[in-house]
Amino acid sequence: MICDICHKNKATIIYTEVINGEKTQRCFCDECAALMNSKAPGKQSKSDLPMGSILSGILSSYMERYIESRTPNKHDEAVCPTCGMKFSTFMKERLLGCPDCYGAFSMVIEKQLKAVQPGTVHAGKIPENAMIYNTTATESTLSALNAATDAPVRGGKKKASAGKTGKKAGLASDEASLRRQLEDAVRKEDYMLAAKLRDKIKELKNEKKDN
Amino acid sequence: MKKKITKWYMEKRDHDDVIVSCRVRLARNLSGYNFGRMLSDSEAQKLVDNVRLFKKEIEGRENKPYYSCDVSKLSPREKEVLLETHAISPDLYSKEQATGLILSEDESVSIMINGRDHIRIAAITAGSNMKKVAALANRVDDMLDASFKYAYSDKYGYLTSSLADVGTGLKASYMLFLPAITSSGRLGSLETELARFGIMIKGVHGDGNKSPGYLHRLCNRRTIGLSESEIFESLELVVSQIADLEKKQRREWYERNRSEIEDKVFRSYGVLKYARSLDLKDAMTLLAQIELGRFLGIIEPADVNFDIERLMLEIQPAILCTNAVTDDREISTDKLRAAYIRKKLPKIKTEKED
Ligand SMILES: [Zn+2]
Ligand SMILES: [Zn+2]
Repeated sequence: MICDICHKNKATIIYTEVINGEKTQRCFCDECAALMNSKAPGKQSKSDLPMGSILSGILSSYMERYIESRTPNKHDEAVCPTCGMKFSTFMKERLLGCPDCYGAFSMVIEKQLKAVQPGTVHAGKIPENAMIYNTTATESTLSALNAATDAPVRGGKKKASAGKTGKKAGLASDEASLRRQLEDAVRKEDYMLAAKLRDKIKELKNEKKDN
Repeated sequence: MKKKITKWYMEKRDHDDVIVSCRVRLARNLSGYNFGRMLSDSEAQKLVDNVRLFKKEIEGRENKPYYSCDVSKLSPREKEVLLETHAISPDLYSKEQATGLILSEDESVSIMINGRDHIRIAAITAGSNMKKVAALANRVDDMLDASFKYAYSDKYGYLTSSLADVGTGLKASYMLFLPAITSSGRLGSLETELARFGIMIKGVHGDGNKSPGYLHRLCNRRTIGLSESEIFESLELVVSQIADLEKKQRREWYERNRSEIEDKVFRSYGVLKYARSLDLKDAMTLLAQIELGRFLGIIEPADVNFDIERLMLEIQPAILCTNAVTDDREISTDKLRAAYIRKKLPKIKTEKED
């Protein structure tokens, strides 16, 4: 089944709505569901979205479970190194814990800002004496990416065996260039590609260990 | 705060038929402290103590006395008064942790400490003068910038605890009196239209679109990707259009329902003048009718300086009880309110006779 919104990705959430006794089924992919959910609290007009607030409520509780399920072990969850804010808490409460959270959760922040703001880069006043924080992707951003896109079922095993059959021929093979591609993918918010690249880097590391 | 000082809302203003007040708010956070969600109680107290020291600094620079306190240590009544005069935000009012306030004598400038952000600078003025409050808030911001280390990033600008404020940290808002637009039922479509420009409008002193005083707050939703002046310009443009529409609709509405509106206005005056008990909602609705009647030329208060918006503020429960001079401890707020309005409501100069 294909997603009702983007007509591109495979639908993973199926929602049955009953309006005036008529049953309609809606299907969404993970990405579209997450995007709708991030838009829901601030939306102005209910008619703008294909569904009402009831669904967004259901989606938000779904998203909580989704995030939890995608965070197999509590200690694997992305956490801000400075204040200890958890990625799942940030997603739930939409509040940051400290200035460093911006760097730690930067890829999600970018997406959330894009949904409601005209831009994602500051264009206003510049202070004289401020402490300047680095808010671009950091190591913890990549682990947040892990938490958000790694399903526990498709762990490293299957991929690793696929890798060993030699199918990776033709793909960039050195780690440095993969990392560059990964950074680029994160910047462009292509998280599907980013997840693939990250898996490849892992694979490469495992292979090195094996040899 | 005990002396008689002219507060911003008591100042004589150029009467504006639509714009009641203008307010600018800047959200700022300091490096070295976690944001509110992750701030410990002891760090919160440290933050409040530290920022409150700024009182001396600003008094020296502005050459004016400022008032400062730990809001969390005030009595509920004192906090309510600050909330009703807009000196503190609901965030600060309801927070259990240490919170602080630095307030100018006329209450037009307030620096809130440890609300949703470490620091929130707010400047407010009666009537229409957004440029004045913007400059005022900016000046206070510069002084704070010189005294503390703000958390800032080249990409995201001023870092705030919520993504709804990040970038400029600026929320500029207008309080608007919109009886005709509200009564015509067009507020909903206006709201939808404004949302497309990243502008929010909502009723005050009431829930949703049902504002008893026809008072609505309009403010920018967008904070990043635009400069401060772009935000101010877009708001100004929208507000001037709304004001024109409101005034045009008031006249058209009056043309169509002349006798009905006149009856309503005089009836409202009668109730305000003679009622012995008035709840807040009724009083606000009735005062709004007087304001509308004045705009349409139906009634003319004998006192040209009579300020309905100020009266609307003074009849809020906590302000009312604080200002009330009475020996009767059992008297209800609604009775106090009716008595206060009776005293303040001016005579009508001309009454049109049919
Ligand atoms: Zn989709
Ligand atoms: Zn943090």
